[in-house]
Formats: sequence, structure tokens, C-alpha cells
Amino acid sequence: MLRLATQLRLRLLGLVAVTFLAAVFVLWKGETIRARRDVELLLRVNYRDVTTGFSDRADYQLSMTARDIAERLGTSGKLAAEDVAALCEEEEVQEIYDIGTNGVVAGGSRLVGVKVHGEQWSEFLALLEPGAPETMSQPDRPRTSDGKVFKYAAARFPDGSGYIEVGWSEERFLKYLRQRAYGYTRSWHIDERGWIAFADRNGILTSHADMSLAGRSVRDALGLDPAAIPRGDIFRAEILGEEMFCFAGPVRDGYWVLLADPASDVFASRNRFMPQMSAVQLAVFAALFAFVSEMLRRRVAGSVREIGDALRRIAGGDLAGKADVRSSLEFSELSDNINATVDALRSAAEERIRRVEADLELGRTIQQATLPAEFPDEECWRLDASMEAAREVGGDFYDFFPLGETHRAFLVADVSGKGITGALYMMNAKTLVKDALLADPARDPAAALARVNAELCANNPAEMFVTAWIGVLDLETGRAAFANAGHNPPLRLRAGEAPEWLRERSGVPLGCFGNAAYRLRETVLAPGDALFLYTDGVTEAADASNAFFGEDRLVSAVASAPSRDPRALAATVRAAVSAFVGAAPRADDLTILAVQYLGPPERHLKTFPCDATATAASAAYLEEILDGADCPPRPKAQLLVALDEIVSNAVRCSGASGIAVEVRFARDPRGAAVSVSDDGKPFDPLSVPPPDTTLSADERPIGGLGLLLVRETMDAVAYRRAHGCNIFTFRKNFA
Amino acid sequence: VNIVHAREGSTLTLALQGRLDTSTAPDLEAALASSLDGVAALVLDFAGVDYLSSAGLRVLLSAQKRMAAAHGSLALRRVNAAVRDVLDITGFSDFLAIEP
Repeated sequence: MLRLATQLRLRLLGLVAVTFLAAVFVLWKGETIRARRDVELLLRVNYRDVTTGFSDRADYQLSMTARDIAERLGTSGKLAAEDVAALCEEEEVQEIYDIGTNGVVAGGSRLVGVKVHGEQWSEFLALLEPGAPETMSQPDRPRTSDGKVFKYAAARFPDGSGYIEVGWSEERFLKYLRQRAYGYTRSWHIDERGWIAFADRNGILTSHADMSLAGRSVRDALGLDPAAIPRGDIFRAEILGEEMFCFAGPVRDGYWVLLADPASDVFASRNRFMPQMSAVQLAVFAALFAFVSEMLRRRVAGSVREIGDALRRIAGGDLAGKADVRSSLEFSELSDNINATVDALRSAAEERIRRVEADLELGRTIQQATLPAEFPDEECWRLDASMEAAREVGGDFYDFFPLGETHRAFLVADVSGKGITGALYMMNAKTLVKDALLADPARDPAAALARVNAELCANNPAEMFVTAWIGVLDLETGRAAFANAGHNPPLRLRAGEAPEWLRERSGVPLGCFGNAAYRLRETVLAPGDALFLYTDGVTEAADASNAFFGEDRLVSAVASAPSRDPRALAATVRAAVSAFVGAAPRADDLTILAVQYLGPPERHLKTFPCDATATAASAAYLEEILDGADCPPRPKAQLLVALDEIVSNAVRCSGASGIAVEVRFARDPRGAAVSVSDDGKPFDPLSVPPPDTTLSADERPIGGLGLLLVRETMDAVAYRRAHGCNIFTFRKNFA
Repeated sequence: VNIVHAREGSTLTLALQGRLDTSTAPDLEAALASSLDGVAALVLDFAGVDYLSSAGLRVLLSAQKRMAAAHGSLALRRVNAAVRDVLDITGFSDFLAIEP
């Protein structure tokens, strides 16, 4: 298929060619008409010159003959009668008269002594008048006396003594004409090669440039029918083998003249001029074509190309691109239509993006909502964790939960999928892991991974997988059992040692192979030791130049933490990653979990019968323990007061059979937590509103003050009902 | 709790030794019940008191009411920080005279 510009150019070329031919034709026609007009004018002018020339020359010749005779005689009265005939013959005239000043014929052919008379004859008497011309002549015409046709002329004698009059008979005049025509045909030229010919009334050619033709009939010699020749009008005929423009007209006495000019001469200038003119026109039209063609290319092809460029940009994803070709109304409309389409496309795309972003936001919300945000504050261990979601929702998660009184599970995992699907898969995986560990009396993380893996593989339509690292910490011993399903190895931090990778051979990620087995590993944490867990969002965090944060920087960051406290570790690593990444966009979730083992619990437990002896006995027990733990006096007094309040309350109200007092010590900050349990009727002391302490002594009821004291002096108080017992716990830091 | 009585005219000073809680407050209550006749000014010396619980507060409140009814006075002397905390928290320091 031809380009639009080429099509237009081809049409333009056709148009220009037709116009060019038409122009050449019109020019040719015009030149032809002009040549015809010119030749007609030429022939008519020549005809007029030929006819008037004949008369003028005859008058002149006859007048000159008269003057010649007058000069020869010199004066009137010297023409002797016997000399007249000889003189007539010599001068080739038929009559001679010598007329004196008195107007009487002094001598001549006839009428000697007769006074000049008659209108025609008397005309010449004007020569006798003063100031008259030397000669006069008359046209040929019939004489009044005998009707014969004569032509007369007269000339004065040089001495003014009269004049000589001479006359040509008709025969003599025709002879003159023949001679004259002969001379004309020899000397008269029309243009270059045109000619004239004379013929008599009988159609006999009397003279022609080619004298061999003279005497032959016009029909024979020239191939023309004399009767068919239009008189007084131009015509074309082929004469002597050549196309001629002709004009025929009468001369006199049946004589007529034929003027002819060859058509090749007539059209010579046209034929010479046309090629040049055509060449000029060709140049003009070629220039016009080139100009319009270039205009087309610029205006049409250029506009089409601009539209094409704009469409390519748009197709390339630049929906902000605009077509803006305003070279013509059509292209302007086309641009507007394209822009309207692109606007609609962009709106649709933006709507889609908004929906996807809403989807991602929902995914992030789900993800964040399922992660525990309250971290344990227990005497034997501490934990801190964070998950900073990337813009695109990843499937990172962490979790921790107690496994009975003595064990704590903690884990970090990374789901391969993104978006809502990833978030839902992550929730599912998180629930499965927790259920598997809680249901296992052996608290075996490897077995839990195997069970979760089997469940995920049984129903994994999205074909996603999860890497996970699970640890179970025994608070009594510091033993941490762990199992790894394709996850990054954690760092172990010991006092006085560089961070150490817990690199054990890992199992495959969860969700890949239904029968995968996971190995149970173990590390023993001394009091103060910490574990640092993370997802690959940390090690693969990229800066602006796309370099990874990497394991070496992670080790350095962990080592540079001010302490092995989980909050300090997590904050230090987060700050290091953040400083490394700078303004570069985060590609993946960034999840960190740090655990510190503080040591085995310091626990003291004793039960007392629930009677009046309980307060004194339990107080003595607590005091002994606190003294053994170097408790300062003020917290010690406050703890004893709190114990007195809670135990006396239980003795007074609960109806319990026994009371258990458990004392545990926290290490950092140093403090003691006391739990008082009774098996009496359920009662939550914290649900009682605090008393009004602004009342005066008279208005004040007794009661309620004890709990107020406990609340106000302790750092934490809690009540729970478990195993049929009220358990009230209060804690006091020593400093 | 050990209680040492010292009488000077109408002023009775009780020097307390030990803790004043649920198990010992009744001792103070009994001591007060038997020795307040003719006492216009009661002084409780807390120098030897380690701590005070709400049971002790109840005895103090009761003593304050009795002294007020007899137009007498009650003063606590030489309370330690723990005892002072309890008195402040409960608002008792607003109506009890506490002397250094």
C-alpha cells in the first residue's frame, strides 16, 4: 500500500501533467490563430499594395512620358504634323496633343486648331493656371466622343507656353499591366517564399514567378478551379505540392491577382516558438509540482508523522502524551479525538491503579493487624520485633507466643507471594504454625514445620511457599530448639564475642514438597545472650546504586548495638539499614526480631491455710525472701503492705481453703513480682472503684484503701482467674 | 508490734516498734482502748515502724475520731518514707498531724 503522501503526489502529478498539456494546447491554438490572422492581414495588405501600385505606376509612367515629350519639344507649336506618328510610336502612346496657353490644340494626332472642350478634356487646362503642378493624369475611362477607353496624362512645357497631352488606348494600357504584372511577379515577395500571380478573365495565368507556367490555365498550372476560388477572402489550398494560405482579388479588366504564402512559413514562428515555450512551461509546471509536493509532504505527511509519533509515545505507555497537530482542521480534530481517547484510557488506568492500591492497602492492613504489637515483659526473656511493609505488600511475618509457663516460641517467616494473596497465605501459614506448636506436647519446632508444610502442600493453589525460622526457648535452661525451612540464618550474640551465624543445614521452604522433613537443632543461650532474626528484606535492602546491605553490614550493625537488649538491637539495625538505603525505594518488607534470654526464673512459692494466720505467715515469708534478694527498705515495705492488703482481703472475703504466694525476681530492671492465688470465689479487686481520699476523717468509711495503696505503690498490678483460682499479681522495681 | 507507753500529765506517747498491718493493728487498737482515759494529747512515735497497711490506717482513723470527740489531739511522730507514702496516698496526711 502506498503512503498517503505518495498517493497525493501521484494525483498531483497527473493533475499537473493534464494542466501542462492543456496549457501547451491552448498556446498552440493561440499561436495558430495568431499566425492565421497575421497571414490574412499580410495577404490583404499585399493585395491592396499590388492594386494601388498598378494604378499609381501607370499614372506616373504616362505622366513621365508627357513630360519627356514636353521637354524634348521645349515650347508649344513646334510639333509638326508629320512627326506625330513617329513620336507616338517612339513613346509608345496612341495620341499626342500640343495645347497652347490659349487652350487651342496647336498640333497633335487629331483636332488641331480645336479649342479644348468637354468636361474630361478640360481638366488638364488647370495646368495653365499659375502654381499648378507640372503634370496631371486621369484614370482610364471611356471617351465621350466615341466611347473608346483611353487613359490620358499631361505635362507643362518648361517655358510655360502650354502643355503636352498623351493618351494610352485600352490595349496599350493592358499591355502595360501585363508588363507591370510580370515585373511584380518577379520582384514581389510575401514573407520569405510567398508569391503573387496574375490571371485574366479566362483563367489563363498571365504571369507567375515560374514563367514557364505563364500562358497555361490556372487549373492546369496551379490545380485550382478559378470559379471555386473565393474572391476577397483568405483560403487554404495545396498548390504545387505545398500547403498555401491564399488570397485572390480583382486587379482590373477581368485581371485578378492570386497571393500565396506557404503554410510552413506562416507557422514557422509558431513551430519554432512552441518547443521553447513548452520547455518553459514544463519548467514552470515542474517547479509548481515540486513546490506543492513539498507542501504536501510538510503539511500532510509531516502532520501524519507527528500524529504517528504521538501515537507511538502513547502506545509506549506515556499516557500523559498529547497529540497536538494543528496544521489543518482535519488534523486538529484528529488530535482532539486521540487526546480524548487517551484521557479516557488514562482515567481507566488510574482507576485501576487506585483499586490495586486499595487492594495493597487492605493487604498491608491485614498483614500488620495479625502481627503481635505488645512485646513480652517477663523476667526470663525479652523480645522486640518490627515489620516495615514495602509499598508492595510482601508476606513477611513474625510471631511469638508462650508454650506453657516454661517455654516461649518465636519465629520469622517470609511468604513468596505479594499482594492480597500473599497476605492471606501468610495469615494461613501463621495460624498453622501457631496451632502446630501449641498442639505439640513436645514443643518440637521441626515437627511443627513438617506438619505445616504438609498442610500447605495439600492445598496450595497459588503455588506459593514460605521460608521460616522457628525457635522454642526453654526459660528454665536457656536451651533454644530451632528448625529452619529455607530461611536466612540468625545471629547469636554472646557477651564479649563477635556476632556468630547460626548456620545449620536448612530444610526446604514450606509449601514446596509435601513430604519434606526438617531437622531439629539446638543452641544454648547463657543469661544475657541474644538471637537476631530477620528476613531477606534486611540483607537485600538496596541503596540508590542497587548495592545490597548484605550480611557483613548486618554483622557490623548488630555488633555496634549499645547492648544486647532486643529493643536496642532492633533499633540499631533499623537505623543502619535506613541510613544505607537512603531515599531509594524499598523493594521488600523489612522484618526484624530480636530475643534475649535473661536467665532462669528466681521463683519462690509457698502455700498457707486461708485463716487469720495467713497474713503474718506470708509477710514473714516474703520478708525473708526480699531480705535474701537485697531488696531496699522502701520497695520492701511497699511490697509487704501490698501483700498484707491482698492476703487479708482473701482471708476476709474469698472463703478459700488456701493461699499460695509466689515470688519471682526480674533482672533488668531489678524487681520482684508477687502472685497471690486463692481458690475462693471469683473476685477481681481491680473492678472496685477507688475510694474518695479527699473526705475528712469523720466522713471517711473504712475499706477500699488497701487496694488503693496497692495500685498506687506498685509498678504493675494484674488480676486473672485461672484453674479455679483468683491470681493477683503485683510487681515492684527496686530502683 | 511492740508498744512502749510513756505518760506525762495528759499527754500519752506510744512508741511503736515493728510493722502495723492486719496481724498487728489489733494490738495497737487494744492498747489505745485501755489507755486513752484522761489523755488530751496522743502522740504515736513511728520511729520503729517499718510499714503501715490499711489495717493500721483503720486504727489511726478510729483513734483520730475518738480524740476529736474528746477535744483532744493526735499526732504522729518520726514516720519513715514508706509510712509517709501510705499517709499521702490515702489522704490521711490531710487530717493527721504529722510531726518530725
